[in-house]
Amino acid sequence: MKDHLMRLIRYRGLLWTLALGELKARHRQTALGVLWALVQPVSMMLVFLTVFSVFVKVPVEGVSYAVFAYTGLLSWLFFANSLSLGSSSIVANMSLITKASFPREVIPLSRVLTVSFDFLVGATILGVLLILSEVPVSFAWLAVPGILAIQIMFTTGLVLLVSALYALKRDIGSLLPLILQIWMFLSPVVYPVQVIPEQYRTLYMVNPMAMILEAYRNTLLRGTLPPPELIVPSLTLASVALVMGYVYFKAVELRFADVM
Amino acid sequence: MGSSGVVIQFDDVSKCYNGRPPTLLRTFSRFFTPSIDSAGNGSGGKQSEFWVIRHLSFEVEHGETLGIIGSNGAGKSTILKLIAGITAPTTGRLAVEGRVGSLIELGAGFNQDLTGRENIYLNAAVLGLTRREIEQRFDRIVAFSGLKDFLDTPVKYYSSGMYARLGFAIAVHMEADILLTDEILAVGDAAFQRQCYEKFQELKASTTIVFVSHDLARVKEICTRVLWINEGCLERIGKPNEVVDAYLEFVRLEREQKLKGIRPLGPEPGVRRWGSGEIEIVKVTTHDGHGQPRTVFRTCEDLIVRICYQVHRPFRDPGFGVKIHTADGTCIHATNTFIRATRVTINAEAGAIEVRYSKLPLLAGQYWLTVGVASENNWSAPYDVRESVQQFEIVTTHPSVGFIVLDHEWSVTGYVC
Repeated sequence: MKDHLMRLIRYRGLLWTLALGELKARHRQTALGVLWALVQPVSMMLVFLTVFSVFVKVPVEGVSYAVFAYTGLLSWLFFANSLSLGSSSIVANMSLITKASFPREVIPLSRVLTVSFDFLVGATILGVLLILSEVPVSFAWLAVPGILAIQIMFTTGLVLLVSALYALKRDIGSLLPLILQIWMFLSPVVYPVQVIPEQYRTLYMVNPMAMILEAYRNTLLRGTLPPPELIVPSLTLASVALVMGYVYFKAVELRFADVM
Repeated sequence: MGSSGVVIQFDDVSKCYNGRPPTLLRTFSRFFTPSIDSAGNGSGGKQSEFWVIRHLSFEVEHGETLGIIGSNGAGKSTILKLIAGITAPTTGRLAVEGRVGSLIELGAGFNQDLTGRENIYLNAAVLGLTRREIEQRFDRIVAFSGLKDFLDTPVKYYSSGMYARLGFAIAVHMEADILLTDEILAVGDAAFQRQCYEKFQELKASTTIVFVSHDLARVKEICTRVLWINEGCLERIGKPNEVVDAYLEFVRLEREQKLKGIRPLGPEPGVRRWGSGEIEIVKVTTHDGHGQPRTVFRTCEDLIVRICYQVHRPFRDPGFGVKIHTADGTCIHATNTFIRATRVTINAEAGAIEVRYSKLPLLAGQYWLTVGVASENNWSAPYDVRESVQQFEIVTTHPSVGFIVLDHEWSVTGYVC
């Protein structure tokens, strides 16, 4: 295990190079370039804004629906895009995997890195929205990097697991978009937790993404530190996901070249 | 890194493809108890299992240039993949010391949309260099590739030659301890090939090289030791000349066996035959210089074609002809007793006539013999002509391409035209 990690550290340069290469390749020959990172969260926010504050009124306490939904969407898209881009990454890079020897986790990790770049670009709009909605600046915001760290741990664990499964069994490719869609509507991305009936709420909050999204909203929109009942279980589940994902990935990575 | 000692060690290594697919549960249980099922030894198991390497043991010492030869599918590239750590042995132990560089499939790791410069960083990082190490080598890589002016062009606009140049330049500047390579010395234009070859010779002095090739002449020339692998098993390892010769002899015998199996004995229905029949060609056989029947020869071996005939009716002034041609009918050589002014005297009812080709200069391939007998060199009305009556095969170590060996000499004369 320690050897695996040492090797990963040695190949950190490759991680950056792959992520940067992916970014450059993606934005080259596009008119909007980096701005494309804003198109998805902003347009989705506008759609949900129309649906949930014009057609159907969803009660959002204290803040405007726009900043409420954008907070959820930005964080959710980071998670979902990492999974959908990361899942196919091993298969997409087969030419590398069958020809060179390097720690294979570098490939899905580089995808997470690429998506987190989009996340950072999208976060600038969040800043603008926070100012426009006159949300008071709070010291609680300092907790955001911690919540982000939990989200990254959870995401990385799942990406490792899913990309390895996808390389060995392609069923995941068809299943994943469906799962992500269901997962999104079962998480408080575009509606508040308060719309869930009280008796189902405990069950509802078993979902780590629900805890993470609530934690973000607590700090960013309400200016309070996330309570331990959100942080402790989400951190635990994220750690379990990360360890399981990494262990499984390392256990099967030498098969990737064989099944292609 | 020591200056001597074993750097690659295969200890009873076997490799099986298409074993049972791993389940989550099995994988986890194996990860935590690693020795639980490593008992596969090539027998039993499911039918879908396919053993590409069986019980392979050998060692390579620092500074050696090991050639690996064998037929297609013998397991040569699997050995390279095992050494490179791309795939793991199913059973057995494998130890590799030092950084392994690979010249297999140059530029395999290139991202089409990135520029040459970006791809140098990417590909070198894939091969295991840190950013600082790449920066140290960057100028040398660019100089070697000769692509200074195209560094900021996306590699998708590169020609295949430029692609290979860049890939080769990166790989050879890795300063790997062990270099794995296949037929790469045959890519690009002549100037680049020479450049590669010189670099290869330079690396040979300091690096352990494992070289997989079908070019047996090259193998003999550059390897210090040769490993011959057959159907996943080590057949022989040792001095290049001995192993390559043994391999060639094996290929020859195997071919001979195969041809024997498929050749029908009677007259073949599809084969053209015509003539008035005064003299009949009964049988045509090929022999080596000592008269032993053979159908597979090496380049520059002696070939004897023996024609057995039978006389049925009176005849006048007979002569025989032999044509060597390819399957599509391209004539390589034709001769007959008339143009060679050889008088043929036939006294008995049946007999044989032989033609001997000394040091037959044919290159690798399948060749056919068409044999005829006629009167007074009149081939429009022969006694008997049998087209493609006999087949033989040439295997070779000769580096030339084509049908025949031509003695030739290159010299650089400067500009005189």
